[in-house]
Amino acid sequence: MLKILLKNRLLALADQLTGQSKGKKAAKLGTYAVLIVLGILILIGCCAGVNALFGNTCVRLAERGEVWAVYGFAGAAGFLLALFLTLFYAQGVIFEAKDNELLLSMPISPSAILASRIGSVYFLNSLFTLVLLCAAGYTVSAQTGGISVLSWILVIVCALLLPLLSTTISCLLAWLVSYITRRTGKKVLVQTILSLVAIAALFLVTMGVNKNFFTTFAESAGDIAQAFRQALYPLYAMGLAIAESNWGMLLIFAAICIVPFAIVYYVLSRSFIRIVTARNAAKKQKYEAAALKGSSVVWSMTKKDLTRFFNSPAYMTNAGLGLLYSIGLTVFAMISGDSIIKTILEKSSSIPDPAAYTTVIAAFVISFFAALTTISGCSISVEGKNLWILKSMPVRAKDVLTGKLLSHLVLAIPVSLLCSVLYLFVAKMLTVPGVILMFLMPIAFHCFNALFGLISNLHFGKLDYPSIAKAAKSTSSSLIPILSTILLVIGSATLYFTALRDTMDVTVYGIIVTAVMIVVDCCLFYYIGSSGAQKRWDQLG
Amino acid sequence: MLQISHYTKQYSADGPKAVDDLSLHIRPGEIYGFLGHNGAGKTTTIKACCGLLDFTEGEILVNGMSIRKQPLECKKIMSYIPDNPDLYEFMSGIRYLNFVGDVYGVPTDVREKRIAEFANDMGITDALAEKVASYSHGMKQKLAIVAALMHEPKLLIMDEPFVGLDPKAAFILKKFMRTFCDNGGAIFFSTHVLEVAEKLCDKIAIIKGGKLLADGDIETVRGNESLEEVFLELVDDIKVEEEHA
Repeated sequence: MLKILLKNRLLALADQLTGQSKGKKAAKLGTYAVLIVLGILILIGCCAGVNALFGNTCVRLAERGEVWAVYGFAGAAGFLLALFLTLFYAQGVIFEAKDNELLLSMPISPSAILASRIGSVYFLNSLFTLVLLCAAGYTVSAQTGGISVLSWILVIVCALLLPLLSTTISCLLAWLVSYITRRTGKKVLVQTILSLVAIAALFLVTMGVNKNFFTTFAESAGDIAQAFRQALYPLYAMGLAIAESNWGMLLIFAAICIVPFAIVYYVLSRSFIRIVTARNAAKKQKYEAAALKGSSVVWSMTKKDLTRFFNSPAYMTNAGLGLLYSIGLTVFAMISGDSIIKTILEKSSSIPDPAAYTTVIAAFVISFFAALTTISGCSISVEGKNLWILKSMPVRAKDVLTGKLLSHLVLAIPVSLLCSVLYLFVAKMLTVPGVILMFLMPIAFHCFNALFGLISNLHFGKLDYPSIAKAAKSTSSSLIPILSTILLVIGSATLYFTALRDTMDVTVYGIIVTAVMIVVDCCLFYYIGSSGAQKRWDQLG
Repeated sequence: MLQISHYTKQYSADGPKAVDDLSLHIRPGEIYGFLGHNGAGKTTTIKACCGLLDFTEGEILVNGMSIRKQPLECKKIMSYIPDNPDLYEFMSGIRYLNFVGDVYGVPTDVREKRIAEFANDMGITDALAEKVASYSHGMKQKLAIVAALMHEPKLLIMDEPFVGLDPKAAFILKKFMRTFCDNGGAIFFSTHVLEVAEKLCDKIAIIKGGKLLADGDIETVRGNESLEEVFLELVDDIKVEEEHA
């Protein structure tokens, strides 16, 4: 039974990854083949990347006899990545799966259902860990003249053991999120906070490792070994087990991975029915009639789309990442602004007008982050099963699309303006045209990104995603505006610095770029009100 | 109110006809039941009538206006309730109703009055502050019905409206349907529940494999037999008496 359940879960996972839920067997097999080839390419790319980035560090560690640390770091990266990427998957697949009750009504033991669900989380975690540990193995092999077959076998064994640990923690955190959600009824708030904490933690850990750890690493090996032993003992044990074929350490590492996993599995399987069938304990709100406030059709559509955005943590964190980055960048500019400007000025002695340059560069940088905000880029796909509501209503495509456009812009433009205002406090050296540019250029790019994203989604978007979260994560049409905006921002900046720098004033160039973008925006806006957009809208669904 | 003339729908050029040359006429004051097995073409027809699905041949007129040529005008005077109402789960019930009121341009004082009346009839007033995601299937169905009535449509098109409704809500809906049509409205709905169709409908149409088998006044279609017997004879070629024998 477990085999059947596990097979079903893995097939569902494969369908999620390929975005294919139905179709001919041959087409499915073809997609799986592409997925496997892609996986192999990622593995090769990771091996080459890790070797290129950490090859020198590996050589120094090998000279000190501390190759284990390479595996330790790879294990830590794999562990964090797996935890970060599968936490919400674990919650959805274990505690909030729609077929939990159906399966529980069948003659299947709860422990088998739980095992199949945890199995799919473990499978994903082991993929991440396997890729990173293999990359570490390849790097050690390339830098030290090869490693033994036994070491490779131990890499594989550890890549199978370590995911048990990340799966255990994923399950515990998923249980915690489910528990808090049930008690408070604030699912969106809990998930959003956790998503932001996870993103921030990953960002800080990565930054911290980049900035401090590797510098210290190269200087004081003993301290790092000590730190590893104290803080990350399982990874220290794993590193030694692989690098030195230390069987004792392997046993310790295996025990550290297997025992907590077994305990968590046992406890969850004993309480699985109670957990998945528990009712929301949050107090129900009773409606009390109050005066209703009417809105125009477009504003009503905008409010509807904003409500959807703020009620889906996955939509917020995937499509609104650019907003977070913009705010992060602004905070970073507030803290480090002076030193950045000084560095730019020191390294650009030939620049005739440093104030204008720094302003235009800042305008381009803020514009760049517009590309990462893809709210409109999946706003039609997230309608999914709800599309019938709009299509059965007497609304024009223009009103629906304008609502979606506005829901993007009412979030993106204030953030863009905030970034521009805060930059003005940092910049100190300002010109009037520069200040205008500072505000207008990012807005023009935000409008382009929103409009182009909307049109891409209208023409190339899929509508059969099972949930808003899935649509927000998977909509491939979002890539079109992301890449186009990045290309336009970087392309126009590069064009100036490589070809026009000596012939045109930087502010004038910035104004021309902004003016061109405003014209493009007007054309795109005209399109969403045209019969072409209406015709395409009518064909949807 | 709703005139379907030679309606034909083919999902792909070389595929079979999902509905073939269907013609029906639903007049003001009529409750028109649309019967058939799963996959007979009921939902395909209903979706085309609401402008949700384009069609291959024929014409559909709502109050004399073509659903193809004047979709917005048609949609202003009608409402559609699907069999499985996937509503905006991220909204509360009241926000959803207010949204519908905005789109149809229902004045706020009127929508407040209608929400109070219809939500009370359906027994969902207390739940209106809750998110739709927390509603049961029946509650969603009731909310969809209240939303459909917000702008006082002249034509109601419903796909299996009684599925998921509790007896009280089903009773209220049936009563409402009768009152709605007595006041000049028209209802076109599909159902599997033959007893409901028999008691409620003024006219019925029976469809099989996309082809119309019978239509007209309920008395004319059933003759001296029960609707169940007629339906089984027409659709399944089963003689009920023989079966019993």
